[in-house]
Amino acid sequence: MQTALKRLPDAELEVMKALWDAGRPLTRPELDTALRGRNWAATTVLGLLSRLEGKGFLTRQRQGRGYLYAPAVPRETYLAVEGRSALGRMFAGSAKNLVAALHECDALSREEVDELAAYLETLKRGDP
Amino acid sequence: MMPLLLSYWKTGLLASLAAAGLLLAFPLLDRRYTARWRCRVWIALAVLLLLPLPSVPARAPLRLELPGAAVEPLAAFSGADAAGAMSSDERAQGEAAPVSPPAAGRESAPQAEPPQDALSHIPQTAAAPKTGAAVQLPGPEAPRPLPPSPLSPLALCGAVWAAGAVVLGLWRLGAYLFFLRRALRRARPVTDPRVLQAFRLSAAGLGRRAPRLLEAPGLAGPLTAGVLRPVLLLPEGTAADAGLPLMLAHELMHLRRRDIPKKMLLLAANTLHWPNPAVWLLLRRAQRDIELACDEAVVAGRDAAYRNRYCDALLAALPCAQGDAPAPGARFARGKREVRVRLAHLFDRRAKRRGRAAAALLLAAVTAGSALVACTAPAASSLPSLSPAAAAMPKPDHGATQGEVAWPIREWAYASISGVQSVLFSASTGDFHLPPEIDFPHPSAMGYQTLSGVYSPSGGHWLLAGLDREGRGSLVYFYRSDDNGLSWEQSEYDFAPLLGGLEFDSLVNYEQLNAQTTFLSARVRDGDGRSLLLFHSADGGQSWTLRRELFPGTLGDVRHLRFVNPEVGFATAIDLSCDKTREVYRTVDGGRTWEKLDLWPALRELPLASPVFTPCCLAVHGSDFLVGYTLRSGRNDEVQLLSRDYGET
Repeated sequence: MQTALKRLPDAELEVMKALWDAGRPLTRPELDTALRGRNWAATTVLGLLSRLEGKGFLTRQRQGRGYLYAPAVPRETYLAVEGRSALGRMFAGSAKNLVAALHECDALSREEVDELAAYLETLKRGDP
Repeated sequence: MMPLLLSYWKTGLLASLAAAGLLLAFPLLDRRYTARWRCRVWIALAVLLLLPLPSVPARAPLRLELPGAAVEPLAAFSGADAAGAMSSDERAQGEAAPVSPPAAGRESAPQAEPPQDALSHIPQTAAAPKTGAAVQLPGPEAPRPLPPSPLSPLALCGAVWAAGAVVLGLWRLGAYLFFLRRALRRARPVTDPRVLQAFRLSAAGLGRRAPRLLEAPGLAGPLTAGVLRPVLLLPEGTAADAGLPLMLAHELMHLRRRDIPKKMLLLAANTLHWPNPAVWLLLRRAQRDIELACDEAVVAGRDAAYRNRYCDALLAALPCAQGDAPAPGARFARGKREVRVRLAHLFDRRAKRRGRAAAALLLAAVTAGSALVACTAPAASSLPSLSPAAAAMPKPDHGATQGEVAWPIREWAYASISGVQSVLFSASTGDFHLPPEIDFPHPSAMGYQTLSGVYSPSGGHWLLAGLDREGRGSLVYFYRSDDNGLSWEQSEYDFAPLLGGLEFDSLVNYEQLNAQTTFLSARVRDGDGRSLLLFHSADGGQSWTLRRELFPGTLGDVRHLRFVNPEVGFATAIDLSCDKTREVYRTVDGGRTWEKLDLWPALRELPLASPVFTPCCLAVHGSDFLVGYTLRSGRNDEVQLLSRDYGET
């Protein structure tokens, strides 16, 4: 299943996010409630759901008069797909220019963090 | 448009050079002044870099001259200063020497030296103050051949600059939008109530400016993004521990201090001045100082314990190698160094800070620097701009000789052929009669035929053109003599394909400037009016192209068209859009576009009563340009205005 996983368009991703956030299968009305901020027409949602099902991202089961929708792909799995973008890596450096982050480190080694901790200790000790 | 753009870039470049001077000269800035005040300096510089500083006219109070620009009237029968820009730095270049690649390279060369005047106020600058002589203006003595290419190196550099800025700007914008979109796609609202509580507390003072709080995977640390609808992104799984409020305080402080708009400003300045490495340095410094200033602001007014907790939180927030590390290698060292600097800075608060007095001094230096920059742009143009002469010119159409310089002279000349086949060639240096034995090769019939052209006494060249009165109205005869009129060559050219059915009415001007540039201007009968057409030949008259058509709609009755060099020329024409007075026009691009020159400031200073000036004639002498005026005040005085710099003064 994972071999064919591709990035989703924005709208379909929103639906999947709603399903993931819920943590449990949702009925159609519940899904509509979760997506109410988007002001999508009912036919739009229907189209999205059917496309997602076609791509294998969600499953539906009959329950009573309606269906129950559940995600078929876990969130982490999909995020791995999202992250695999060469373009993203290229842009990452330039993008930092316009955001305000807490720090600029991507990852420090254990030794470096320890070094910094030790340095902080000396600073604190020097300061009454 | 081009001259304006170029002058903007030029002043922008000079401002950035001043910034570079400041940067290099004050590395001690860091130790003595707070980061918050430093940020203001950087922002001020960024604004300065973005604003097109108006170039102060030549009569600036503080005139610091680049020595190379101390100009004598030059053997500058030389290449075109195609831009003819208003900044007299360029003017000086135009006078002293043509826009040769070194001079044009000065625009975009990364290692352009800071202007010496800006540096003279900065002690012990790291960059050696180069004297103006080193600012490369090629020696003024050598007359240079006219550059054949129509695209000047200056315009080319300007185009490269513009293209680079656009590309860089688009890349950066694209990167940011891409990143933001991706982060938002992966983000989801924070659900941990303790995190939400901590956020609500920290964001208490912000009100409507509070950002949305989201968490996203793959982030190394919290970050704030967005200007209009800011969003605060936390790494996924951020715990609501003791350090969280402090981290949030840092991010929200960024928002309070409007750091993102400041970063945008710096980035814009950097994008615009991308060829200048000093501006990149400025960007790095400023970005670092923005972080330091934010740290400062967070712990301001708090006790040491708070500060210690803040540092602990900062350390705890650092990602350890197990997390996602997409960018390996070099960033490690930089990240660690950055944190060290920040920690040290926070503990450095006991060091003496000069505070406001020093910052005021800095800002004063910056403004003084910008004022100085405005003054260096107009390098001295200490030439006389007027020679109001009450002497009447003998014949309005002859050039008045100046006589003191030895550049090649082109005299306007005309020849008349009367019915009895005697030919009179006249130029200001004398008249030439053609011996009657020589059969002047012109099929004239009766009447008075006027040829138009140029005469070079130094080489004995005559170049004349005339119309065929009897035959087709699109034929032009050319006559050339290289030996002072003893022998002649005749050629003809049929302009019918270029005229499109119109016929010549009279010739206005014919001159050959060099082997690659010849101009012919003529009036054509066009319905019930007359237009002026300007033709250009790049091969000495073998073939011609139409350069410009001046319709009576905007310019009427164009006369007296002369070129100084392949790019710069002057003409008089009636401005129909503005009370039908005759005005002087100038072109700086070989006749493609013309602009009206305002000579009124010069005319106003003449000691004559109640003048109404009409320009009656132009003369070009080497690179000088004379306009003769007749006064409609009853007297027969005529006034001449002389310009030595292509009409700038």
